[in-house]
Amino acid sequence: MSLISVVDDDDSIRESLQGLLESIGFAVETFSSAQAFLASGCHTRTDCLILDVRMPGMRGPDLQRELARRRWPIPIVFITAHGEEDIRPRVLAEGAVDCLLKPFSEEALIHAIHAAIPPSSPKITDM
Amino acid sequence: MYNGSPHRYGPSSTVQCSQAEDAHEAVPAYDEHEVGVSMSDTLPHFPVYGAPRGEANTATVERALGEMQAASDQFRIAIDTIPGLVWTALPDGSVDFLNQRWLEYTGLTLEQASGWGWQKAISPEDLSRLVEYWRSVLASGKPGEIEARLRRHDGVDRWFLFRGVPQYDEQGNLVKWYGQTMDIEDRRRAEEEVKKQTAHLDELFELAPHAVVLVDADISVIRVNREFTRMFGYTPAEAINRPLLDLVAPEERLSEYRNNARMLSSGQKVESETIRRRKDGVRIAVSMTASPVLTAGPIEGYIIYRDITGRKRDEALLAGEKRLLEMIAKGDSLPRILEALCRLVEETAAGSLCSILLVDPNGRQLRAGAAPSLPLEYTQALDGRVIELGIGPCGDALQSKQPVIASDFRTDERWSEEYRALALAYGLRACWSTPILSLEGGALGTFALYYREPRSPTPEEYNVIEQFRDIASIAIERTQAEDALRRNEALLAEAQRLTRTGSFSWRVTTDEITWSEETYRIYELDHWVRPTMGMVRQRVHPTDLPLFDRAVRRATAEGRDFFFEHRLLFPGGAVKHLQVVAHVSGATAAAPLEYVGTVMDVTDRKRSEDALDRARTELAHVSRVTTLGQMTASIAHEINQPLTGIVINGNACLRWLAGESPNLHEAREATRRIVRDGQRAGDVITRLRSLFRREGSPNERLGVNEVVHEVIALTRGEVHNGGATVRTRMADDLPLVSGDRVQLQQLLLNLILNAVEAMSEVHDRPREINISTQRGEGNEVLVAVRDSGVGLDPQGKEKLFDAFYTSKSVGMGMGLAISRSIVEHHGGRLWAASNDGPGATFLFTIPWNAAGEDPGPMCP
Repeated sequence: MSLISVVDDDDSIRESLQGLLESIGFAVETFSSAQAFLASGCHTRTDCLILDVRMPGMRGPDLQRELARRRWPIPIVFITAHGEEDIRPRVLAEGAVDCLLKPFSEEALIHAIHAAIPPSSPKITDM
Repeated sequence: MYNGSPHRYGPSSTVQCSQAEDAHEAVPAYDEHEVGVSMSDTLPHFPVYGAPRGEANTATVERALGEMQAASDQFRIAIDTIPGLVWTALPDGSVDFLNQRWLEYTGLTLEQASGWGWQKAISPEDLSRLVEYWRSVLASGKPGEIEARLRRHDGVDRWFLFRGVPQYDEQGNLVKWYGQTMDIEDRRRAEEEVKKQTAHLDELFELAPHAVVLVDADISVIRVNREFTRMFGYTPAEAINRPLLDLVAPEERLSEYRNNARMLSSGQKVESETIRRRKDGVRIAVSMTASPVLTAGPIEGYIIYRDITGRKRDEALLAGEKRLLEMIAKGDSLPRILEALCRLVEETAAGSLCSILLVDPNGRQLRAGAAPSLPLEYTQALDGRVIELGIGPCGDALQSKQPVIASDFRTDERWSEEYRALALAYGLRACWSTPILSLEGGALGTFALYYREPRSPTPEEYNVIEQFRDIASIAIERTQAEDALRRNEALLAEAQRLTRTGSFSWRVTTDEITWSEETYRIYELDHWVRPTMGMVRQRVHPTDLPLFDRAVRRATAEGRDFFFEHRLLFPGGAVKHLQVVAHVSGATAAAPLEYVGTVMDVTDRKRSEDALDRARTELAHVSRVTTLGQMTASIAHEINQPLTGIVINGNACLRWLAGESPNLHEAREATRRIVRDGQRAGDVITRLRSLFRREGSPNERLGVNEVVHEVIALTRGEVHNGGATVRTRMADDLPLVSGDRVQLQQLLLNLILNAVEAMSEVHDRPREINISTQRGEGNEVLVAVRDSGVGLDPQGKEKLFDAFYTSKSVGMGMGLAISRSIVEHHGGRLWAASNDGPGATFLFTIPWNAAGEDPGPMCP
């Protein structure tokens, strides 16, 4: 089972994503900050990282850069709020799989995760 | 008196106190008593008293004596009847006869006067002289006469001529002296008078203050006086018989000849001013009066000369001075004035070359002033030299502030070889330099006379130098003062033009108004117009005219200064705003009221004030829109999060419910989160509504704490994302303030966002915002927003509240300017202070309504 790690400072987002992804059949770990993720040691198991752009402390793109520096090749799907659309091309250029604008549809999310994780390994069942 | 000549040598030519020269020829042996006398036929043969010498027989003698006695008696009678005083004497001189007139006149008897007794009648003062002379005549045997005073019977002395004539017989013997004594008192007095007058006239002639010369018909000199010698250099000996034309300068000879001819032919006095040549060749200016001497004798004339060289020079100087002063007064340029001055000096001091050097405004260098006759190269060589001793007489004169006389550069070693060589190369041998000083004693320049031969100044030349130096000083000082004045006037005009401020004076009683150039420009009137109050009123905007009239009337009635603003309306419809300030000038009770003042065209200021007002309004609008934009972003974020949560949870819920065995537990959990997020979004909407709900009523009564809470809620996202936390310390007894809720929210929003921004670079300490409210001093609420950011830049602190000032790399820098205008709009103050620790605190006050209400605690 693929492990998806979610890093977002907002409780609503963390909890709802955990619920949805588990309902789809992923294993999910959530972290309220980038530092917490780095400290957890989960990176070795994580197949896809869903990462909020704007957070107190280390922001999403900072974590992306840090992972690249540590050469931890984790596929990243960014999620971002209104007013931060301009960050999208930058994070994609630096290797992110996708950058979704909140509120995003389930289809968009699944599509992005599929892009991150080859569809064979996890069993994703369609509705 | 004699009617004829009793002897050959007649008395017709009278020679006083001397013996007739021709007596020698006639009577070669007159010293011998025996020599006979050849008597004239017409005269009786006088008897001889006493015993004659010689030998004669007695009878003849007796007879002769008888005849003689008869004749003698007759003669005596005749003698006694004539009015003159007559006497006879024996050859030895003793008187033997005096006529009756003689005796009557002197009061002596014949006995008393006979012999030598007559001496009693001679004035004692003259007696010895007379007697001595009489003896000499007796001894000579020749006629003689002498003047002496005879005392009248009443003791009065009168001058008489005593004359004695000897009579000789045929043998040449002196037989008798005949004498006559004539009263010459009147003649003598007249002669003395003439002598005295002649002496006076001679003295007058000699002492006359003018040169006087007496000429004959050929205009040759007959006589000259002392002043003539002094003036022309000719001694009387040299002058006499010299043609007077020798004095005349060649170019004057013709007119001179005409003058003299006219004078001598017409007999009229001729006066003229002309030039004469002295013996040494020097020309002098003279005024001449030629006057013929009107006598019957040969034509003669007097010519009187007065030396007017000094007067001429003074006149020329005076005229020159006047010309120079006119040039100064007319404002001629300094070089022209100084050049004219040099030329005048050169005319006055023959042979001189005049030079004026100026002191450079830097006070250290010489500058060429004027030297029209000096070689240009020489003047150029001096131009720019640094003033110090040794560079030449002018340098020394400036250094010592004393005149410096260089009589001969060839021998004078006070100056450098180089300078002397320079001067000598241009043929300059002597230089007298005098410093030109200002009234305050500052050195303005030098005034120098150069000569091509060695020379020292005479006292007269000293005077001339001083005189011209003073004119030069006036010219330079005046020109400099005028230049300064002109500069100041230009500056003032320029300043008036730049500030659009014109000046005026107004003499109220006579309505005499003077305007500066700028005032004309402001009123748009031509320079030649004589301004009047009526003209000014015509320009005043009709709406403002009553105000204008009232202000002017009130001020002039009370003699007070006035200050007011009004508008002008021009024929084309243009309007100007004027600010008028007028001072009562030199007001004394007696003096007529006069104002001096300025009119300032403040149209542009008015316009920019209006523009500024509009800009401020627009800016506030823009700012509000911008702030709303920021708030919208913040709000969108706030709503977007729960919304995203709801969508995801909804999807999850559907998934848990789908399939063969729905996971109800998970579905319920998802649904619960949907409800929670929905409520969270609702909260945001509630706050949003509170933010806008009372926008329409800008002056509501507000609780400051409430506003603070609202804004904290709205900025939660910004603060959170900025990694900062907000703490509050609110006083709970604050009175309500009256104000615009949205504006105050905007104010706080600005301050909180600023605080977040200020802490964005802080990593070594907590990013904390402390917001406190409390009662301030007086009737006001004090709000402080304190951060722990980078703090205030001491240099930027002043500009902090200026529009467009920013220390941020982004943004327009409008925030604090708008904040301050909001606070001030509410009657409060906004300021910033540095913290004791890191960061800064922004504080503002809002007064609460002090209209007697009890400001009870009203806020949450």
